[in-house]
Amino acid sequence: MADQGERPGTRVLLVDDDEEFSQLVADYLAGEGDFTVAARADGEAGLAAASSGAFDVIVLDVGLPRMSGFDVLRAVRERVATPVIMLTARGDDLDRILGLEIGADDYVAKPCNLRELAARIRAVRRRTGAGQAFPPDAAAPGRRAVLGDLVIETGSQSVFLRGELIALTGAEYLVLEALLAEAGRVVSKDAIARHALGRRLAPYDRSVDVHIGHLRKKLGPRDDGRPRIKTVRGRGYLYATAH
Amino acid sequence: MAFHQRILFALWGIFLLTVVLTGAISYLLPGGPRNTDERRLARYTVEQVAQTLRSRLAAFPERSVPELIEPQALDFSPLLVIYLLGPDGRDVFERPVPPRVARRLARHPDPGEVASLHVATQGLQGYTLVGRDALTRLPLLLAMARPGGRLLLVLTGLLVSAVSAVLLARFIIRPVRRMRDAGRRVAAGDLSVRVAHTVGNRSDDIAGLAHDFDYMSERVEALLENQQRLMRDVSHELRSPLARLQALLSIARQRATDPDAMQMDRMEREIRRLDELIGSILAFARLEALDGLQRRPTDLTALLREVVADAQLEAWSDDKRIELRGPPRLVCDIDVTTVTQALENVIRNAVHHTRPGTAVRVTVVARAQSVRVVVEDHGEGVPPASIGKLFEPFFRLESGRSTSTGSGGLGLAIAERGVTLHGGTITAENREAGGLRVTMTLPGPVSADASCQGVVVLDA
Repeated sequence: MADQGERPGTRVLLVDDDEEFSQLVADYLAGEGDFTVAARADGEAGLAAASSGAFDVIVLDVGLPRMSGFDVLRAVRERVATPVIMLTARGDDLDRILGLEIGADDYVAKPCNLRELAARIRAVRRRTGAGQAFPPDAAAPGRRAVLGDLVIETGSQSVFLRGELIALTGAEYLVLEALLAEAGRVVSKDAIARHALGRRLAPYDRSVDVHIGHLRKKLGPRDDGRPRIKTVRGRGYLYATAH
Repeated sequence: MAFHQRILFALWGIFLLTVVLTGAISYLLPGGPRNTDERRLARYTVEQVAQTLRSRLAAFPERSVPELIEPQALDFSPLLVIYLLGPDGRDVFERPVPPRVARRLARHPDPGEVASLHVATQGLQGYTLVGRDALTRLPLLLAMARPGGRLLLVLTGLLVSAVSAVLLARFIIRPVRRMRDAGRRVAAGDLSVRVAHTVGNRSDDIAGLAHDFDYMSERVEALLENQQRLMRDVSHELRSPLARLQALLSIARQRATDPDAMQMDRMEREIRRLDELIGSILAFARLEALDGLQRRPTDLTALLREVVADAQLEAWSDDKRIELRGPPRLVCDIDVTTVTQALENVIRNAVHHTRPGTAVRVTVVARAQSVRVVVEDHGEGVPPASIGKLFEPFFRLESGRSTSTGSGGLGLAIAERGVTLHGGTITAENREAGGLRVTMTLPGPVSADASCQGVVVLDA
C-alpha cells in the first residue's frame, strides 16, 4: 500500500464496510504493482476522503453504514470529478442503473474477480486520468469540433451546448465522443462500450443504454424538437445530423 | 342482533307482508268482497226488511216499530245481522251493538251503504235498520279464501319474495361478494386488501367474518413479509463471505506459479454460480414482494429483439441460434423490468437446453385481447409427469441434465411470477417433433394498428 518511490501509481480509494474484504483488495492491487489503496469503512469517512481530491479512482460499495453508497456518490459528484466505480450486488440491475444515473463511471458486480476490478480501474483511469488525455493522439490542446449547436473540446474533455458548458462524467463524455465520431451513422453498443468503457459489452449489460439516457437528458432534443440521439433497435445508437 | 334472528324475522316479515298484501289487493279488486253478490244480497235484504216494516206500519199505524217485527226476522247470521236501533241508538231487542258499528254510524248518519254497513231509516219512525254483513268482519282473510284470492296469493307471494330476495341480497350477498373479490385479490398476491370498512356499523356474523378476514390477511402478510425478509437477509449475508472468498481466490491466482493445477477456473466458476443463485433468490423474493407493476406502453417486439440479441451472444459459442418471428411493432401495456426478466429467463432456458447446432424459435402472435410469445427449443423436452412442476422454484429434472442456466433453478419460477403479475399465463408442453414449447400470454396490444398484423422474420 505504500508509495513506490517516484511512481505512486493509481491512487485508489476503496469504500466498503467489509474491512476484511477491503484488506484483501488492497493486498491484491498492491500485488499488481501499479496501485496504492486507501480504505474507508463507512459512508461519511469515505466521502471525507473522496472530497480531498487525493485519489485517482474511487471504488464505492452500495451498502454502507451511516451513509449509503448512492448518497456518497451524489455528494462526491457535487464536489470532485474523480471517476467512481460502484460495487453492486449481482442481479440487482436497479442498483446498477441508479448508480450510473447518479454519475458513476462504471460498475463491477460484487463478489468480483479482482483481476476484473483492476482492469476496470485501469480503464477509467486511462480515459480520465490526470495529465493523460484520451485519446492520446487527440491530446493537442484547443482542438475543437463543432456539430450544430454542440461544441466539443477533446483536450479538456468539455462539451458546450449553445455556448454553455455541460457537466458530463468521463464515461458520458466518451460515449458522446464515440457517437460524434460517426455522426449520422449507427454506432453499435459494443463499439461504444469499447471506446467509452474500455471493455466489450457483456450480455444483459445496460451500461451504454444508461449513459445514453443520461446524455439525452443533459443535452435535450435538437432545436427542431427532434431527438438528438436515436435508438436503432437491435443495432445501436445514432447521433442525428442536421438534416 | 345475531344472524339467525335476523333471518327468522326476515322470514316472518315476508310471510306477513304476503298475507296482508294479498288480502288488501283482493279486497280492493273488482270482484272482491267490496263488490260481491253477497254484499248486494245483504243490501237487498236490509231494504226488503225496511220495506216490510214500512208496509206493516202503514197497515197498523197505531203500533210501534218494535212490535211489528220479531228479532228472528233480523238474524241471518252468519251471513248478515240486522240491528234495529231506537232513537237512543240502542238495539231494541237489546242485542249488543258492536262499537265499531256504532262509531261508523255516528260518523255517517245518512242512510244508504256506509262503509260496509247497510242502513235504512226512511219511514221508520226514527228507528234505524243497520245490516252488517259477515264480510265486514274479516274482509282480508275472506278475500284470500275466495278462489281468485288464492291465485292472487301466489302472485303476491312471488312479488314479495322477489323484492325481499333483492333486499336480502343487498344485505347478505353483497358483503359476501365483496369478501370473495377480496379473497381472490389476496390469492393473486395483493395482501393489503382489507374489507372491515365495507361492512359499516354492522355487528353481526358478516361483520365478524369481515374482521376475521382482515385478521387473516394481516397475519399472512406479516408471515410472508418475514419469510421474504429472511430470504433477502440470508442471501445478502451470504454475499460477504463469498466476496472474500472470490478476493482470496484472485490473490491466490495472482501468486500461484501454476494456476491451472489448482483448478482455479473451476473454483471461480462455482463461486460465480453460487453468486448467480443468490442473485436470483433475491430477484425472486423481490418479485414476490412486488406490490404493483409500473406499466407503460412498450414495444414488445423491440424488447424481444434486445433480449434475443443478448441471449444470442451467449448462444453463439455453442453453435446455437435464436430465430425471432413476429410483427415489426407491437406496443403493449407492460412493466418493462418484469417482462424483460420473464422473457430473458424463458429464452435463456431454451438456449441452454436446445442441442448444439439447432435453433431456438421465438414467435410473437398478436391477438385482439392478448399477445402470445411462444419459445420452442430442440432439446430433450420434459417428462410429461414433471411438466406441471416446471415453474416451481428449484424444480429439477430427475435426469442428469445440467441445470446451470444462470438462475439456479429459479429462472422459470421468476418468469411465471412475472407473467402472472400481468394477468397472463405461462404453460409448457413437449413438442411433437421433440423439445419444449413454452407459451406465454401477456396483455393485448394497446392499439391494433396495421403493423401488429402479419408476421415477419425479424432475426434468424
